[in-house]
Amino acid sequence: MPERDLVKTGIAGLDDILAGGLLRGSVVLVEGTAGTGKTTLGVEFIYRGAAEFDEPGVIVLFEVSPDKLVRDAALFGWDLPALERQGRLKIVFTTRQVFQQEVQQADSLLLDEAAAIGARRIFVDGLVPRTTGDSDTRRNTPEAFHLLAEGLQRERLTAMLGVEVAGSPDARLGASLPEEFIADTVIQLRTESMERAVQRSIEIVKARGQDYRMGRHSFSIVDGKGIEVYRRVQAPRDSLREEAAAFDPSTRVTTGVPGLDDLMGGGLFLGSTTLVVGITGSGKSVMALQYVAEGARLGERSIMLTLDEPRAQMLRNAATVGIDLKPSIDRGLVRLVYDRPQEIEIDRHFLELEKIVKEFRPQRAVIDSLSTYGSSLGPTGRSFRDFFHAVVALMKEHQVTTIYNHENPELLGMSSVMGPYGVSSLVDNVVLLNWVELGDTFRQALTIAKMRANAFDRTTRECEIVNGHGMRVLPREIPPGATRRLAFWEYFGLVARSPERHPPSGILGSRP
Amino acid sequence: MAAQLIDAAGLRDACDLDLLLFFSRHPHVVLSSEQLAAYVGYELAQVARALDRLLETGLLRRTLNQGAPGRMYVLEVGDATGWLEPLRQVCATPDGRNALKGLLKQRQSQSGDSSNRGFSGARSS
Repeated sequence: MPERDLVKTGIAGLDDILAGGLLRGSVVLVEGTAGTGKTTLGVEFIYRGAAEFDEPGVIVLFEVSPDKLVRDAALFGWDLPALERQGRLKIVFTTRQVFQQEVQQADSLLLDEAAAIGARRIFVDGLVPRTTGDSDTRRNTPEAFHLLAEGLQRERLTAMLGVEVAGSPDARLGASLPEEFIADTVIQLRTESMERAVQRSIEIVKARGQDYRMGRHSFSIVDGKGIEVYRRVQAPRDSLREEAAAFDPSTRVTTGVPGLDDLMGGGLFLGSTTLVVGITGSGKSVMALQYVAEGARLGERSIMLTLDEPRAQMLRNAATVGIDLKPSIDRGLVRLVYDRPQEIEIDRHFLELEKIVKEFRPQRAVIDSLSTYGSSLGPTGRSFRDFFHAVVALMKEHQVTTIYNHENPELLGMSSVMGPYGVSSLVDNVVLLNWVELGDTFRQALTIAKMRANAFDRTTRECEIVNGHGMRVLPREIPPGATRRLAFWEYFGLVARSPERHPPSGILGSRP
Repeated sequence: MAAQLIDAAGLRDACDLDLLLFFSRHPHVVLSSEQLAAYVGYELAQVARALDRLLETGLLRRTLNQGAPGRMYVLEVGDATGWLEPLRQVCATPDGRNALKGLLKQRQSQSGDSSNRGFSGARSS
């Protein structure tokens, strides 16, 4: 199969969804309403070509004056005048009518100028499609567009054409612009309302002769950088990820919680996925911190990803249970990652997580908490489930033993592990943390509800969190000399919210 | 300072000034004469005279293509950097631009001279 000559756009994330770049010599239509980012995309395409890939380019403007374009480009750190002085860029101001005529002529002034600098790319900003019955002469007819496309292809320029559309593509109810049939590649830019926020998205609708990632991917326009495209979280990744082993049943990872590893037959399996479920205050975060601290003690790298608490708060929480994470952070063993849950851009968030996992190569991870992701994305929508699938697959590919905290709203006992989230089938292990009311006291209970491919202790065990010391699972028997109270084994129905004492031994039998 | 800039640039009237400013903002254009006049906002004849003056000084280069309505104009800044940028900065505000236009109008009525003294252009120091 002949190798395709692909032109890298150089725009962060865009070449990835184009499966490498644009076919050389393509005519690329970039559609969008006002303010969707067409000009920024086109200018960056030309800038990167000239500055990074030794491909001089031409920018043709009908509406924006060149000095404003130069001023706006400077916000991204793009020095267009410098490229002009070096003969790698030309910015030409003209009218649509003149441009149309120029491109159709073999001895065109404009194309001669492009040839003079060895231009390989061109961006034309501000084409306006004409629809049937439209008498506005500013707008291109399909025939005129066809001639324009032919002219550009004759010069073997990879051409990006910014096309202003009146309404969003969705409002057209699937009807295509005539220009879309002529162009080789069609890219649609949108700004979509999400509650009170606005999210930008980019979609490759068509790419003749090449592969691309379908669907809407989110993107941002970032000061000092330009456009950043975030491949949508649902998009298939490397096939290796889909084929990654579930976990390594020959290797254990210790939890760092005294008494817990014994219940698990020695600890978690390497690369396994564990859900820790409990109401607020039941000890999920403490358990997570001990897990991370244990990793640091063993020289294993951990990441702790949270939407709930900023970094400083996490360090403070750790200190209250006697864990000082700062030295481990300074040694590069622990990485705390916080992202704001409000209006979270899930594609960007996942891409950053992927990057961290690939670069930092953690052996352990804590995600705190799934319920916050659920409330940001909606627990019953596809987004949350797709995100969780993607994170689980990512962690398994890299054999990261991961704990996911999840807040269950039920104060006493649990009628359902994950409520409306419904993804518990994806996890290998489930640990339940409950409050149990015995007499006039709330006591903490821990139950291992599930452990794939592993024999484990199914009894509900008491645990405690002691300031400065963290969590530990208590022995089943109350040690002699300890404060007088009944052990958990003397009750039944602990997690079922109505604990009752077993009859005293000697009447109906001995302890269970 | 305004007078010095006018002298350095060799400006004669407001059309000269506005045409020069247009090309400083659009250093590379392909336009027909009528379109250029429309963008600058003067009568075609005025713009044509101002264009000729600019071309004579070498500040502007024009390329024609027979049969095509558009002409390519490229601003060749060269030695004019010393006065062009200060001129742009003065004209960046309405007050600055109006001050220069006022001075040009005053000079025109004082000289009562419709001679072809025009842009001194890029080559003068």
